[in-house]
Amino acid sequence: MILERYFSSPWALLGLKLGAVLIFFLTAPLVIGYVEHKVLAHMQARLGPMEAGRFHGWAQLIADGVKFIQKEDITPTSADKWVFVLAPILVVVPVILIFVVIPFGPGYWAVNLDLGLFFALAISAIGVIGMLMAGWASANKFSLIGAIRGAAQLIAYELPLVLASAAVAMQAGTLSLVGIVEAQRSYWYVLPQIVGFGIFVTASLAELSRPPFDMPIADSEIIFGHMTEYTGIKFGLFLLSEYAGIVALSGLATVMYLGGWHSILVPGIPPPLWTLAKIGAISFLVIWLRATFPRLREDQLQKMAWKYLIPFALINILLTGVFKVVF
Amino acid sequence: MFPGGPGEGVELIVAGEGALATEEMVLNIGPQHPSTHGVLRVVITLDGERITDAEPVIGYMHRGFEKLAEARDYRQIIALVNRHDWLSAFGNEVGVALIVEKMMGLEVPPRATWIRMLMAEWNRILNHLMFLGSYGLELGAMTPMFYAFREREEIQALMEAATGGRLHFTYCRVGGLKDDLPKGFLQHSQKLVKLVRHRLLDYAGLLLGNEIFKKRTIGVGTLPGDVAKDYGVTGPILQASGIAEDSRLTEPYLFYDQVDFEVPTGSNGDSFDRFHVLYQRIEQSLRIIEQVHDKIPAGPIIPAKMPKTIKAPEGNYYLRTENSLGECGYYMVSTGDKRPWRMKMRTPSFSNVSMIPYLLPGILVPDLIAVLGSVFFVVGDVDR
Amino acid sequence: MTPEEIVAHLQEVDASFVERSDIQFGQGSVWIPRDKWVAAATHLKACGRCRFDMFNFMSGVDWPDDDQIEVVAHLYSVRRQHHLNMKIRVPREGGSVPTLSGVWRGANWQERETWELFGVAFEGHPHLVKLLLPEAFEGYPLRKDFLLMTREAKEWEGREEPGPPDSSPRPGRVPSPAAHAPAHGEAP
Repeated sequence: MILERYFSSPWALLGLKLGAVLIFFLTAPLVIGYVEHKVLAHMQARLGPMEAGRFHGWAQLIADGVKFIQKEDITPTSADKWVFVLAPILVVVPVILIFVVIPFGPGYWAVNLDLGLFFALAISAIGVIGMLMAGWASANKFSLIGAIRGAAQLIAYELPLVLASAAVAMQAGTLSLVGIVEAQRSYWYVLPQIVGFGIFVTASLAELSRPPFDMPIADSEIIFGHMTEYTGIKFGLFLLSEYAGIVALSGLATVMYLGGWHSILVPGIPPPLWTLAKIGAISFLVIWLRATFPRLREDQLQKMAWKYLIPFALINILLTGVFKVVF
Repeated sequence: MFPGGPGEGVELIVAGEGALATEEMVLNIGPQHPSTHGVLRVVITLDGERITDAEPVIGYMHRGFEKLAEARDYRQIIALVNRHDWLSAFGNEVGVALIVEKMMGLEVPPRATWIRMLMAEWNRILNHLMFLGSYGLELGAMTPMFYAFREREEIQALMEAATGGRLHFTYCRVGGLKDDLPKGFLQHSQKLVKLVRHRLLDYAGLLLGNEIFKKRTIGVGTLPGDVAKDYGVTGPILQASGIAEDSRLTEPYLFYDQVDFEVPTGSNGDSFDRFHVLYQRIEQSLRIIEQVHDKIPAGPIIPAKMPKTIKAPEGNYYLRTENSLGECGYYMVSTGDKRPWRMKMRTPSFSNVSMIPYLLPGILVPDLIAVLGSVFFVVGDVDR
Repeated sequence: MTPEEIVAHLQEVDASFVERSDIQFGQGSVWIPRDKWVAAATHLKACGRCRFDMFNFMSGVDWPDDDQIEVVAHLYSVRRQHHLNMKIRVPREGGSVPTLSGVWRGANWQERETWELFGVAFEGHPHLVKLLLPEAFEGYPLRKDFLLMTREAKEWEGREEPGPPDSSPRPGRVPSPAAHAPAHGEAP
């Protein structure tokens, strides 16, 4: 809203906002990635990156990015060339698009869609296709196994994600993410929807293939799943999308359950910083879970989704509906 | 873990006749692994996701120990024997020293025996910690590995103070020990017992109590007790199958009859029990170490009258000790010379790995890692 | 049961089981004729008094002077806690022993190893292929006529007795024991 005074053309404004989103997309995962290195290290009685950038290795992920860019780009000879090249793009672009709708503060958003929540969830499902394309085009039997397992996992966990979000949308009365944040003026939705919050976080972990749900990529039999045959910048894009996905889904969880930019207890801090702090807190939780838990087996994972998460999400919607109608 | 693209190391076997013919796939696991198992290769035949047959292929690390032992005298064999089960090197040395002393009728001073017990138990803890950490890593839990190595570093520093080595100690000599303990060793050892005991609780919390860990290991890879005995499986795996067979109790060597400890057993013989038994064995070893601290007398560590050359009299004998992974024994045939005529090394991992063709068929592929990781072995021990 | 009792028991059951027996350092060995090898093993496993349920190891010992290879199978009973060595002597060329893998499953790998290292065939073994050695290996390494190449290249240094204990100079920076360890007889 502030910037609208300076730009007469709405397209230039949009371009600027998308540019800001792109910059956020390129830097936030680096921060989260670095925090992961350090947090994991300190939880495991070691130090983590210390060299890159002199001071506690802050430039480690930047160095990694440079490394990926200058690596040789190998395409397997029997790979399906165009599908192979398009797959990382199909995994990365949806995540950027999610950032477009997440509001960081009053007026700090790129686009305020009335269907924001719907858009975010629908877009995040496209990543599944990218994973399948990568596994198929790699011409590697074991990448294919990994991709199929990953696809099964992601599709199974879309449902709890959507159902939990549906309960939030019902409570807020709107699908717009900005509207959902503004509806949490008096109390954050994590309080009445604690079950939904748990389901949403668990389902997002599975969507991102993060431990304890990382069977598709870190199984000792399939090396790195669908990403095995990728090198160089394409591989870098896959990794970037993983960390950006953590930020994106933490962002959605913040907006839907933790009150977005609303402050608590401490006054005087600008709202965007509140949002970033909450995103950081959820990302820390995600990293902490990686350090602690072994992997769930694929069938145990599916059982958990279908037998536990979905019924609880449905009950959650039911109770929310009753609550909305009665009170 | 599996070799490169399709076609390499993958054969298709067509089983069954006519319309119901299913294709079984033969896959190769190893010999290069992204896990700590070393160069073990298992060729499994898959029917869909279920394993129908498993054949371990060993020998990638065969170094001909037994032949080398025939060309060395008994003092040199102690340095050689460190190297087959390198995670519990001291236990192997003790076995060789004991059998030569038994055949020669040498009397070992009590101080040396008590110190040998102390070192053997610390070595056992080193070995078990390694497997505690690496098993978690195979299931996806990264953190216990680092904790295990942190503890191992402390214990290795302790043993280095006395022996000079962190992995291959070469501390035993026929008749006693190489050197006495340095000043302050026993205090250091006592402090370390408290530290390890305190940190052991972390493993219980991170792994034993973890729901996901339990789901992945309980009921997986069950080995019945009588099958285990049939294969010659010993050590923690046999104890997890419910049989409390431990050489330290049944045929006490060194002074194990003068200390108080238990042999933990499992009830089901599944992977969780094997892991749990390993954990409890560490606690029992700590208990033994505490008792040994109080009992070490002053005295020499080598008998006053040692023969000029060490020659075992003519005859043959088999002596077994309870090494960390199971029963490690030496069958020595001597013709009265400085060198053995034949020294057969009975290693625990060889028998433990031989039961893999029994254990794996019928298991799903995702459980393969959980089961294979729970069969504790060291490849040098399997192949010698 | 003590070794003597085990031997006496075996002879009671079937006198032809025991060709001869020996007890060394408190451990019993029985030499069993070839045609009774499996029968004696079956009895040793099944009999309630013997109960040899664990097959510990099997190996060979090469006696080139007698032109024989002695195959040793060591049995252990977890229930009764006693040991026994089953032994048999076979000729070096073309010797063979009936397989015990039908009696104890653990005998399978042990027999494969004995075969590939000594050249003693095992009749009736389900899968007698090389276990430890590579496929292309020729010869039987643990036989005495298979020479250890390093010993051919270089003399064994242990042939000469080493000098008196303190004559060898201490390397560089290692202090003498008195500096850091208590003298013999003192507790640390």
